[in-house]
Amino acid sequence: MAQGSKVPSHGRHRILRGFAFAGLVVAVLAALSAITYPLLPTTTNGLYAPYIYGYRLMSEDSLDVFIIGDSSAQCTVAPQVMQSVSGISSYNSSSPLQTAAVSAEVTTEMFSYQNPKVVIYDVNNIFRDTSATTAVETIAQQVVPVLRYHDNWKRILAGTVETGGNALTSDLGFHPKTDVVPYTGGDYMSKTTSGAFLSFWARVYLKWMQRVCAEHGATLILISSPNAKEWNDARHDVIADYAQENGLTYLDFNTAECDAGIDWASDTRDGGDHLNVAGATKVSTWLATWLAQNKSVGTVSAS
Amino acid sequence: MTLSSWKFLLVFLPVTYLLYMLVPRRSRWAFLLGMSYVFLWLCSGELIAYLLAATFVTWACALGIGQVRHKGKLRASACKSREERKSCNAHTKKRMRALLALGAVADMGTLVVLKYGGLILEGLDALRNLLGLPALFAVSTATVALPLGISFYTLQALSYLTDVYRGKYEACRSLGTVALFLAFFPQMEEGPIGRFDLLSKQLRSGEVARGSRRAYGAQLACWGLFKKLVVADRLNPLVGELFSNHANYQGVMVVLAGLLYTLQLYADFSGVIDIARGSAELFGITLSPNFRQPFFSHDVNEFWRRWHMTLGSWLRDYVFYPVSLSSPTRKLTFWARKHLSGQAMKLVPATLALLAVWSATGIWHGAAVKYLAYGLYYFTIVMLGLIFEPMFQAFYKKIGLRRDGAVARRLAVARTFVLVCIGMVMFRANDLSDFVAMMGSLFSGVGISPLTDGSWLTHGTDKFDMLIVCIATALIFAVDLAHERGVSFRQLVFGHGVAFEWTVGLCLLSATIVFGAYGAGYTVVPSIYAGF
Repeated sequence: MAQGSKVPSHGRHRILRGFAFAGLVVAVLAALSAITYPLLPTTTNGLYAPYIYGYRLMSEDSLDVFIIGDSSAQCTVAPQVMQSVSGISSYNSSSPLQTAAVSAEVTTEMFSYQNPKVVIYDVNNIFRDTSATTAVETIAQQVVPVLRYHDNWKRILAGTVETGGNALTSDLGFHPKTDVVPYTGGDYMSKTTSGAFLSFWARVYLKWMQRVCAEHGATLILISSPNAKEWNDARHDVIADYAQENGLTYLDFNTAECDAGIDWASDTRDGGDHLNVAGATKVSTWLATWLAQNKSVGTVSAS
Repeated sequence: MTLSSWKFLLVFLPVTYLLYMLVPRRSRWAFLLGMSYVFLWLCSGELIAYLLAATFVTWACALGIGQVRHKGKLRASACKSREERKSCNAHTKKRMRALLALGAVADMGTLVVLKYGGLILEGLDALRNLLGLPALFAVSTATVALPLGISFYTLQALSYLTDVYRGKYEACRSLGTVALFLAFFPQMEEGPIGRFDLLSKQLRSGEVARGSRRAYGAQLACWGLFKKLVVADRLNPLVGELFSNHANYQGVMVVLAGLLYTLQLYADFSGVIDIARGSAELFGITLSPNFRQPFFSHDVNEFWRRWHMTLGSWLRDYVFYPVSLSSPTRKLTFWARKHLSGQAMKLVPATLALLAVWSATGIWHGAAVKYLAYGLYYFTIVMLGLIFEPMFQAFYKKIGLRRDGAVARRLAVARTFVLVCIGMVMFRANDLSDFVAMMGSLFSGVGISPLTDGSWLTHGTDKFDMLIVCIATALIFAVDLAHERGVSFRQLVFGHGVAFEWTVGLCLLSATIVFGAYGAGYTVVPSIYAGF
């Protein structure tokens, strides 16, 4: 095309039509997202692990501490224990197989409802499924919610969409189990494992968590729940290095520095992968005390 | 990355299309070849080496055949006597045949070793056991990884070599063109199986789809995705349950299993083919259709002319005709004419070619006895049809029903559908013994109560899933009916104004996004035919 010449009218027409169609697609996706978006976070409304959104149902800005991670964290940090030890108000939004992408997304959304002083992120899931595919799918579902909630057409058709009521559980996201299945494998930290490195997307999610906490004046603390099946020195070192590089506090309950007194003969419900209530009480007590003493969150009672 | 994945539809395809438009026209074919290799690398990794080797061998052998023919013609024209010319031509033919055999053995041999090697070794080991011979080596039953599309590009390579040998067209001097013909990415996953003379010019033309052709390609791909995600993938959990735990189901539930799997396979296969054809249209390339309303067939022969059409035509041109015209078949025909009469005289020569075709149809699908049985099932039906044809004619005459009348034709369609569904049960069953057990239990269940009590709607497919499957199936049937009456997809959608086009497109897109079986609670279902 010669310099200074205009786009031919049929070319302009095609470009305008293209934009018009793209606009219609956006409008349709927005409408579908609005129709299918769950008004209440419940399983009936199509949410997997709806309890992770329980913070929406609590009084606004009532949380001191927010906990997020996978099933390790879900079975380790008990908000009720933290409340009784240090008067800390908290919610545990962890869930089984929760990906780092979802942890970052949920934490971001949480700040629309709450303003905790501390966000505790159990980094066990940072080594799981941090592929570009998961990242793109999670972001796409955030931007276009119908991609996540499209199956709600069944509930709309059946007339079972929940719009009222309180789906908040008394356990505040914690998952208590009393079973005892001892771990008898001895030292697990020195076992080697492949994949003990932070991938590109793992670092993206960690930076995301740091940024969103900083924007809201919250302190991000990284933890590793006691886990004889999935944790070891190699992973500890990777996280410890990252924490040091980024000025973050890292509490690894698998090390002597953060010894909560876990007894693997009685404090695990499945041979070392998850803690039971006894183990969770020990860790939660330690954590609540530490928060009160080091982060001025809550107050340790005299008793 | 599959054709029905977001990575292909929203990333790879649009990026390839946009860059294709920017590349100078004369270089577009090379760009397409490069992107095809990128696609194959992403799908199969280093297994792409098999395709590269097959490409080079096929191109070189075809070129060799062409050169031998050309030199042979020159030598023959220089011959002084008829006997000398005859000897010269025979020598040329022999050399050409050797090159054809070399290429065919290399291409087919790779497929046989990779796909059927395990089965062959198991068979030899079983024979060794039977004969009481000692084992010379351990037989591994580990599955060998197959490069994507090997069953499809091998047939394309063989057709190209054979066509050059037959003199249908000249061998192509350009390695790139042959490479693109074998590797063109939309057709790698499930075909359609292309022919060199139909595709080569299109692949080199560098045309780009604009305006209505681009819209048609996009809508065709969207229609294919609708069929795959809304129907095929939504049925997958229930079909899996009915076949994996078939011992728990009898009677009407076996019928349901056959019906649902037939629907799942059609929606899956035709859906992915539509995505492939729609994608190819964006690059100005029209791939051959692979389906022509197969469930409107009046007999199984017609069904196989309407289902997986490119495989059927390939087997006709490169198995049926060569076997029919081969020396042993001609000898058999001559013998039959001398010693037999009536129907038998016509049937015996046809039997060899039909047996070859149907055996090939079966075993092409996979290295398992049930696939061979699947092919022989249709061979049996065809042969029985031929044998009893005079009786059928007499029967229709006796009851006063015209065979080409509406009633008889509708009955024929229904009969063919039942036969096809039985074949599909064999195709999907874990093995032949499971198929036999399922057919046996067909008559042991009583009534339709298992269907009406709703217990079957608790295995990953609920009543809402079935409702949407029924509506989508009715839509697919309506479109097929329109095609059967001569109204094409293009005519249905285009030519009624932009508003109508956009409305159809947006409705299709919305339906796929809302009703598709993807995301949380669903597992990704691989394309069924990609496994072959």
